[in-house]
Amino acid sequence: MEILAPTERRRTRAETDLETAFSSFVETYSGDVVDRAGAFARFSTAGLPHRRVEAYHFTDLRSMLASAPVPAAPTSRSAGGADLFVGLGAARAVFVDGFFRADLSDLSGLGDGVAVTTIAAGLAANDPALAALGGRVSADPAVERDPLVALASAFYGDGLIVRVAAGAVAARPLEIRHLSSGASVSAFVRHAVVVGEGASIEVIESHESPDGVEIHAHTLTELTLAAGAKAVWLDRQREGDQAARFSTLAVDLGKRAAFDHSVVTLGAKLARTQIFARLGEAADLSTRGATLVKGRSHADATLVVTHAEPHAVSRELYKSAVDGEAVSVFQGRIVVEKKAQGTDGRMGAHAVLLSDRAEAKAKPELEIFADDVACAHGATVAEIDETLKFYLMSRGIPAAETDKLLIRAFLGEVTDAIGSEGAREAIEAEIDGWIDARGDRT
Amino acid sequence: MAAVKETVDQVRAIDVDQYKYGFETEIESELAPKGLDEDTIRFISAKKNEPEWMLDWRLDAYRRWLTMEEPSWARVSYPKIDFQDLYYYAAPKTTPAPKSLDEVDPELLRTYEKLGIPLKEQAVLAGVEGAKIAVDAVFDSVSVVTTFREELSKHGIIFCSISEAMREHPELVKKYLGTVVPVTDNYYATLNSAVFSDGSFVWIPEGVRCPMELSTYFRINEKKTGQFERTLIIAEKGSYVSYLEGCTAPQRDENQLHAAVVELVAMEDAEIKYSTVQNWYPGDKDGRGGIYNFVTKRGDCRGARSKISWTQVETGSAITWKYPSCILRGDDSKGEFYSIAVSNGHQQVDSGTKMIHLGKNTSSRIISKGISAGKSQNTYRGQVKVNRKADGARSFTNCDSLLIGHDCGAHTVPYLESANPRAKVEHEATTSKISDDQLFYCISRGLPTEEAVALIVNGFVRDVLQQLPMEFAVEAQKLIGVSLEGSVG
Repeated sequence: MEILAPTERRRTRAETDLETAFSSFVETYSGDVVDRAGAFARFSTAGLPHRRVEAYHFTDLRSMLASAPVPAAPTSRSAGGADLFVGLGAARAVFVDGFFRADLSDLSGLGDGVAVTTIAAGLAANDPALAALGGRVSADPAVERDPLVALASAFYGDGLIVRVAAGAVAARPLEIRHLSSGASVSAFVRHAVVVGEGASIEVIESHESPDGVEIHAHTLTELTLAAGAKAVWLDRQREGDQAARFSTLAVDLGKRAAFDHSVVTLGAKLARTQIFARLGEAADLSTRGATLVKGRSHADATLVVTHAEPHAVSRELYKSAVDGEAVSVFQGRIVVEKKAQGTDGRMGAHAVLLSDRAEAKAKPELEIFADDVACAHGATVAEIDETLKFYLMSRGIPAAETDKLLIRAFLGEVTDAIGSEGAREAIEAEIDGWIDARGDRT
Repeated sequence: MAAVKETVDQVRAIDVDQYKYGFETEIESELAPKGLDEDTIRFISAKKNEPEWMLDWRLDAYRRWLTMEEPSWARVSYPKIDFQDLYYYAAPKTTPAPKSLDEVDPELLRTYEKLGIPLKEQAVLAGVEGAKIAVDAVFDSVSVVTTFREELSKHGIIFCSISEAMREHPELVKKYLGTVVPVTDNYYATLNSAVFSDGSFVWIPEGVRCPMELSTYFRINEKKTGQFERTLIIAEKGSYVSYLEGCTAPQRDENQLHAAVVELVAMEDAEIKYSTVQNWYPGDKDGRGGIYNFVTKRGDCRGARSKISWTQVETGSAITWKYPSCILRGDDSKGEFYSIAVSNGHQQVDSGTKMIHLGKNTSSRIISKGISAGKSQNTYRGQVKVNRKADGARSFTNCDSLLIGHDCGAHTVPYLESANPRAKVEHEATTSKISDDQLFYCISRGLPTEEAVALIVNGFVRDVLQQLPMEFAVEAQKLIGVSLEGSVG
């Protein structure tokens, strides 16, 4: 047996790529207000997380990322994508390769009290307000330590800063589209959304890229909801079959604030969606997810919901349909801090395996330090229920149809509850398309 | 509600911070030189007259251990252990191999009497000491006596200390030792492989149903010693055995290390039922002292239709790090894990199970009840993994946690991994405090608060208590009451 002495960690190709990229990248941005070096150091000390890093146990980035494409530069190239939500009459911010495109965007009509600016403009003007973004992402130190958060904090070049003044109600939804020019790049976007006391906004985020192009798309979003503020958020992800998508949403809910969040993931070779939520007194959080993966996709939904103050309610429901050789991962943790008496938390994670080689992994955690709580979680993994199929077939529905019907019904519990009413139908249609594309396999 | 009454009485009868097994036996001991190096291992091996292959096995484990790092993923925290500040071998200075109880040091016999462990066969047979149970008594590093051996040998059953098995049945030990928990399995298992001193060995021949409960009673007595026992149980085709394990230690303000390895092998149609009542000294009310219980327990359902069932009642130890597991290799094999983990004071528990489904139509069932009180932290950590080939596997997990008081924590960390669509994996967990409605109901029926809490707690753990052999269940129920002392009412 060969015994290896503990030596310095060997850098992977992707890590070296990122290091090289960073050293030339910081020069472009030298002198800006953001502490990029500090953020990058947080990443490079430990490097890409691997299976021995608990938070990445099921999504080993060190072995899954062979390389990292170069950071994107602003582009004027056009970008494709399905214009799914065009009928909603939403204000629209379009990003191509991670940079805002004024020519494709229309931010008018959001109403008084809603101000939208871009990070790039702030960086160019050396806006000291951006310095704050370089530091704290969330009150939760685990968020700060997260390697994907560190990477996005080091490399971001653009994004939106949205401020909704106290009491203001956004007159129409805000659609944020992330598109790709088709170039093989790493794109880093960072958004900051601040919703004032009693104010409200609806955001529809959409991520798309073409098949066959290696893209690493990073988004880091901070959302702050002041007391009594409300936000409805839909995140739709349909990246190409060679794309890696890394999304982090850190949301801070003030007293009696309410956040309704849905994420729908269809595609990407590798997707990791992280949500870090911190709940104030009597805050109300609902988050739900539908994941549909096939081929060799790997989709990971990771959730940390921290009840920091008393009497908050949280509901988490994540469902995935896994086909081909795909893998779906769900990691959810409800943390109840000592102060958070009267917490009500409930989490469900369910996966249905549609093929012999599909895999599902789930880790629903409870971490509880207060005694007056009612917390529960449930998780299941199985194939489509034979008895349900039998019932439908006995009613004359052909075998090929029963699967479609049952997958739709399984995900229906998530899609029916999507808060953005206008967007719900479009999402359901897209899911139907995915199911139909499976063909008539039984 | 006699049992409830008993629990309450028990709670009342003792002062805060009482551990009734906390006494120390005044007995002269022989110790290995303090610290750990290859010489310590040679010393242990020589003391036990072990064959050469065994020494090589130990030394190999030791060398591997030197390259390993202490695991840090569990939700427990403790000061770094100085592995050189421990004695790895301690044995009472008495007759080397007592042929009968008459030759055993009377001081030792008195110790076991005080602990309520029946070592006198006649007394047991006369019904004085309760049910008929064969006992292997392990005192610090050595097995002192094993009872009912003759009767067991009539059935062809081997029940003896593992040191003796190494000398008398080397072929069996060699065939099975380290096949369930490999030498390099984890930091503490590797350490155990290097320095284990004693433990029990059980071999049940084909088709034999073991006529009585077998049990091992572990006692740590000497100061600054680590106890590293090793248990190996093999149930041949179609056999059955029920095995119980109990543990206690004196009350001291230093921390002592206990790192055991238990390996179970169940062949075709065999069944092993393994029950533990773990009551190591948990430390005092300020968190001083107590045992660090870092244990690796694993069962291998090697044959088709075999079954391994783990039942544990964990009330002791300052820190528990323990995951009795089942490898469900044989088709149609079954694994079960029933656990009650009670933590109070400053105790830290990180315990659970692993069910690895490899064979077809394998099934597993996990019922875990955690109760945290005082300033303790209680974590359930469990894994259910279904291999691609495990068609028709079924797994069900239910883990419930109960919190008593404002300063404790209850955590649930399950891992579910399925790679077979024809498998069905289910998990559910809840955490709550004792329901106000239930409490109100009991009180409105005239029960004092203390009694009402005891009643509800007993109801909460009932599913698991039912799995224990009867004598143990009564004992365990009392123990839970005692452990929660100072936290109720």
